[in-house]
Amino acid sequence: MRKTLAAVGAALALALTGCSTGSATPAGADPASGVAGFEPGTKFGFAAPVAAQPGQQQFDAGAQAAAASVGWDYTMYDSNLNPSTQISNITTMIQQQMDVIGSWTLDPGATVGIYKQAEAAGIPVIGVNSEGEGIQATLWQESSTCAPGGPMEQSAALYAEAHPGGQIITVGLDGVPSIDSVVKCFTDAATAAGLTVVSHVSNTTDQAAGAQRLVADLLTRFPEVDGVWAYNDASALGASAAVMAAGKTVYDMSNDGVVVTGTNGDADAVTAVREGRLTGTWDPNNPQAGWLFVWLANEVLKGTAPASTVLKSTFVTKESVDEYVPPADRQITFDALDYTTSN
Amino acid sequence: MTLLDKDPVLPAEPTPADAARTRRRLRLSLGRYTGVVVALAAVCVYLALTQPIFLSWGNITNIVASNSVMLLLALGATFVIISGGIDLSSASALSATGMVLGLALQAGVPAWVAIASPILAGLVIGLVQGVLISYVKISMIVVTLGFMSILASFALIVNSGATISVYGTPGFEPIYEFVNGSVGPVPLLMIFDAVVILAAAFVLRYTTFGRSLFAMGSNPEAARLNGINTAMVVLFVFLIAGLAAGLAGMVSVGRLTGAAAASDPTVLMTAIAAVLIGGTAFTGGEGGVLGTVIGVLFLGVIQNGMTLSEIPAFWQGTVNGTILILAVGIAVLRDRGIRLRRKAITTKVG
Repeated sequence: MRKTLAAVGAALALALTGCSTGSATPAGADPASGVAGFEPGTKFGFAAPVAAQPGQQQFDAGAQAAAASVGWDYTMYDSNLNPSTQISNITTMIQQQMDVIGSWTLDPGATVGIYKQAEAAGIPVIGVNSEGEGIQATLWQESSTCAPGGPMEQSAALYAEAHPGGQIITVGLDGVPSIDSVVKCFTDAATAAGLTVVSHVSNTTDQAAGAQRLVADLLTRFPEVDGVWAYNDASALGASAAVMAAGKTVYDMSNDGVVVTGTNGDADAVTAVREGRLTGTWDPNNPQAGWLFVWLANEVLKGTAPASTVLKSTFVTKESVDEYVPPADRQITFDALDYTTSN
Repeated sequence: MTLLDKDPVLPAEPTPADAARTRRRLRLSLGRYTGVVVALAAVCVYLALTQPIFLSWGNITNIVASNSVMLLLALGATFVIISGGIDLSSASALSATGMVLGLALQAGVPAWVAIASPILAGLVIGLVQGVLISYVKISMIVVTLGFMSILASFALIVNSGATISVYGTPGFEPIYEFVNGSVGPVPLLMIFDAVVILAAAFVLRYTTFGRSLFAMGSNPEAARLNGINTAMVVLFVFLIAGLAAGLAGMVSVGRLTGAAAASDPTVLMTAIAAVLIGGTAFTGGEGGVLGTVIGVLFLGVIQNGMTLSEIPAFWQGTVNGTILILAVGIAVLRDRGIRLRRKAITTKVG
């Protein structure tokens, strides 16, 4: 599932590497005062990649709450991982004369035409973790980016601090450009931090069971490995299960176990962090992303949108897990969002 | 059905030279397993030479443990395929039964209730499918295809698509110990696998049901005319497949310390491939548990070897597909050779 989600934004990491981090408060756009600047009744449609995914549901819930708070009419259309369905949904949104359309692009090559149609109809298109022709502004989640000092460098620093000069295994999903770039980003950061990436595997199943098999195999070859980095939480949990089945402990910020981290901030991953089965997970703050999505849509309509808006992600470890608030319980407002912008 | 499967008995009176050749052939023949066993041996030799840890006990037990879920599903599929059918729902049933176990553990039920829950769920799934196929007379493909969707959807619905984390729940400890524990150097899972294999082989080879299964798979109409209750046989076949999915669900949750809502898209085809690589005929009526065990082992060794050798994931499908075609192809060529020999001898005698 996440495989396809992650397939969007092929040049994501590289593109963002070149961006400035901007300021915590975007110039010329104060979210707090922006609430008053929303035009009630604005029709906002979102072509979601797959509504069944928990992270997407959190994103959608955030966007719905934000839209409701400003009197917008927000509708989510499920593409169910099918680019053809996504195009049909955007066609429907054009016919319904939406004021602004958001899209998490499934296939950049297939959607250029429909984005152009939206543009011709006078409807701006916002990308979510997607950019390219026809997209006027993009909302990024930091955990998917490769900015200097960002999540990948911070993760590498954690591995290096726990096991200086240690050996690392990376679990990716080869052939998915955005994941490949994040894997490369972490690998470069790990190498720079003095770590050695002894092996890389591709979890083609995109699920915990597949990662467990792969990591279990590699642990027989590299029994002294100090860390396993995974591109998502499912793979990290599979790696964690393999580590524990091999009779090892997982690093919990205080012991000398194997460092295992993931990305997604899934509920089961946070539970695993709390139980000491996972060192950490990057929470992309999906509900906040939904709120920021609505704010960005308004900025686009006002003509003041930055080209790139990056929402801060949060690294959840055993030391910070007590501060973690489940997505459904978060009290979010526009002025509480933590993001940076760049043009 | 043994490893030294004999070629068909030839009606012609053998000369002493023929008898000697036949003895040699009996000693050397591996029957329908020839292709896969030779290939497996070649792969093992290669990996032993190139990967020093390949033959280590730790790696061997790792291969067994990593493939236990696949073995259970493939054993269930073996019964279905020998009956002349196919079960498209097994991977979804794995997810669904795993989620049932996850929900049970999350609810804090006692361990024995939790352990029973996926098994019962699997049996219910098999029972409903069996009834729909045998007594409502809906096509097997349609029923299992429908259940593939329903069960995958069920697994997503019950926890909103999220994995159920069961580590630390009261009933999980015995399951975790069972799946990850060992008796001395021997993993409990290896012992469990051996018991299941023996039980499946016994049912298939030494029970009336097993013999009826082969008869029905060879020719359903002839089996029915000979008094075999084919509807009941199909029902039992799906009960066994459901039981296998339930056990696989339990092992999967025990290994992952969680119940994953999403089905692994590769599981179904891998299970069927293991059965076919093991010499079970896709047309039914021929096959066995030993072949399936060899098929699962072979795919497991290949997977392990490719990971250890760091062969890019993109090539793994090519390797697995080639092996499937080669293994089945060798069996087909062997069968053709037997038929040609029979024809030649019949002509000679005639």
